[in-house]
Amino acid sequence: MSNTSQKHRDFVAEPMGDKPVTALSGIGEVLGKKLEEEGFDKAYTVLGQFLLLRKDVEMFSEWLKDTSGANSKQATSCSQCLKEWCDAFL
Amino acid sequence: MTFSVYSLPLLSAFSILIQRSIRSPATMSTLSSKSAQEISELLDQYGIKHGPVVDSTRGLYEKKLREAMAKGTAVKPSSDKTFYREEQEEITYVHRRVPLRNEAFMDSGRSYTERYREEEDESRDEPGLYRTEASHRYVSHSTPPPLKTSSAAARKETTSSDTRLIPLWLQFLVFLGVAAFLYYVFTCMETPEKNPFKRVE
Repeated sequence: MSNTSQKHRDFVAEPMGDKPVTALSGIGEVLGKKLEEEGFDKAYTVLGQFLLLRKDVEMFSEWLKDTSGANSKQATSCSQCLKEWCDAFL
Repeated sequence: MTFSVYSLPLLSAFSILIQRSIRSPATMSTLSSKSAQEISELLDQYGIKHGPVVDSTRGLYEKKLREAMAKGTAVKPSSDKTFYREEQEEITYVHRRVPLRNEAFMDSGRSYTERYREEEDESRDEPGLYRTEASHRYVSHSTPPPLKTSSAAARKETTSSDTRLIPLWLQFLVFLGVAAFLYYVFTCMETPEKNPFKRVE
């Protein structure tokens, strides 16, 4: 529990609904803007990509780094966040 | 002279291209022109776990394939071979065991216990063939019924002799001896027909 940020805990606590992509753990304003440019404006679209990659944390992290220019820490954080959300709600 | 100057870089470029194609059987340069199905198959060949190849995932998978091709990672056929070998092993294992089973039924109870010990030893040696043990047991369960009807009495005797300390024939003998003794005592008591009070007179 102490390893996860508040943002992570908030996201994983409830269904994401129409939350923006910046609500994801590890995704700040800069990365959020980049993702929106690529067409991923909502958190659920990024979830869609995560699911397409078969919920593989490593694969998704790589994709995120390539698409948004995220660093390793941010990408892993986002992947973990989505994985936990899936475990809870999918 | 100018001809030689132009031909040299051309030759080197050409050789590089040839080298590239030799290194990777699937052409690296035409990866983007392949169909989604082909990309999927290539990913399987390189042992890369993947989801559907769609617009958003294609770029990533192409990148993964290029990395794998550069590394020259293992191809699919090798894994198939091991699977086949396993199947073969399974078959030979069952064949070896079936005649042993028949033997056990023909012999006395002694070999029955021997076979059990053998089974235990073999299971310890080859834990990988756990499945064959189960399949063997299935086989063994199917064979007893036809054998049972033919040698039922013999089997009963052998199994019962295995559990008793004193052999059955001895028990019968002792029983008959005791019965005979009791009968003798009974007849001894019955035979005097004369008056028991003879002495009194």
